[in-house]
Amino acid sequence: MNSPHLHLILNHVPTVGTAIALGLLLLSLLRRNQELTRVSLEVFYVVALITLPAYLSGVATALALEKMPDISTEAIARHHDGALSGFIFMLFTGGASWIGLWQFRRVSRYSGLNVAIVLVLAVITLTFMGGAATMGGWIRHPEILVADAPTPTGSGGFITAASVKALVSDYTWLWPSLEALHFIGLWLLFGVVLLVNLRMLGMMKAASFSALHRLLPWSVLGLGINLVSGMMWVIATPEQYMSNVSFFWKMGFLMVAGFNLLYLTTFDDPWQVEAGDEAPFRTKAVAASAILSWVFVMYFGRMLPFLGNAF
Amino acid sequence: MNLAVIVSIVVVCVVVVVGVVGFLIDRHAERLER
Repeated sequence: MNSPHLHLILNHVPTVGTAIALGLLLLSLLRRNQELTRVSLEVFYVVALITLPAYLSGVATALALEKMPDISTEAIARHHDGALSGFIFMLFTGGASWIGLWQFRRVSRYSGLNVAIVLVLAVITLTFMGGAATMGGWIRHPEILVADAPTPTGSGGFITAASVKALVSDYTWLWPSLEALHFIGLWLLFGVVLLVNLRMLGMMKAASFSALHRLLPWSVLGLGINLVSGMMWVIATPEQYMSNVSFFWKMGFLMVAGFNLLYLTTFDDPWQVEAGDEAPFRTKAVAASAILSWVFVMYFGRMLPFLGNAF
Repeated sequence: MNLAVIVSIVVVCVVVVVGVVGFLIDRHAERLER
């Protein structure tokens, strides 16, 4: 399997997944069913997670397609801009959903404000993702354009990949600032995740899981810093990452670590671990895989120039 | 301006914003749990 193949498999997830999650959220509000609200927020989070490889495989596909004859680079750029706009809103939707899940775990009820924010963000995300999907179709399937319709022009989103690339290359202070922030985000993320997972493995038994669970938003803020800084590098210099085996593995382990974070946030098994308790085997297995996944994310990030061709 | 100064200002500003957001989320959680 190569990147274009992966993109063909994943590219429906952001659009269809957001529509399904939005439908579940609306249904839960109509039925006043908090459990269904929780499921919808979990689906938003998972869709946001899968949107990352969907977007990255799209960037790799663009690099491959641009070399082919009879392919419009303008159409690719328009699709990229639409996908980038949708991806940005998807990250906010996933982040707001995660905050909602975290709050629900702690107080067993939802904040109306949080659900309203997720709802608005999801509608905007779906609008951009739907547009990006349509523009993606135009690249290889011009037959879906309505007959006699004017040729699409202009950007496909509220931001362009070219402007991000120009920003990173024009301002010399930006790249080193992003590097410093990427490290700060990393220790914020890994510091909290390590603490929580070590407790699950049997250390610091005097602390209950719920006490450590309260620290989790700090790790998500760290993840947010790293996603923004990392994405800016990828958009600015895609050729350094897209054929880099180290980057492929880094993203793979990031997916595993992302699912582990959902387990720690919402599942019952870790939440029931009180002070002095031993965590069940399943929780220990997830905790061990979480620590290993983050270590591998860091390792393959550092190995980008050595195992791959970056920098 | 010196590159190191600009980078330092940018990094400190982002860290302060993230710190404030993290603090507010934590305070909000405490209010909800009370």
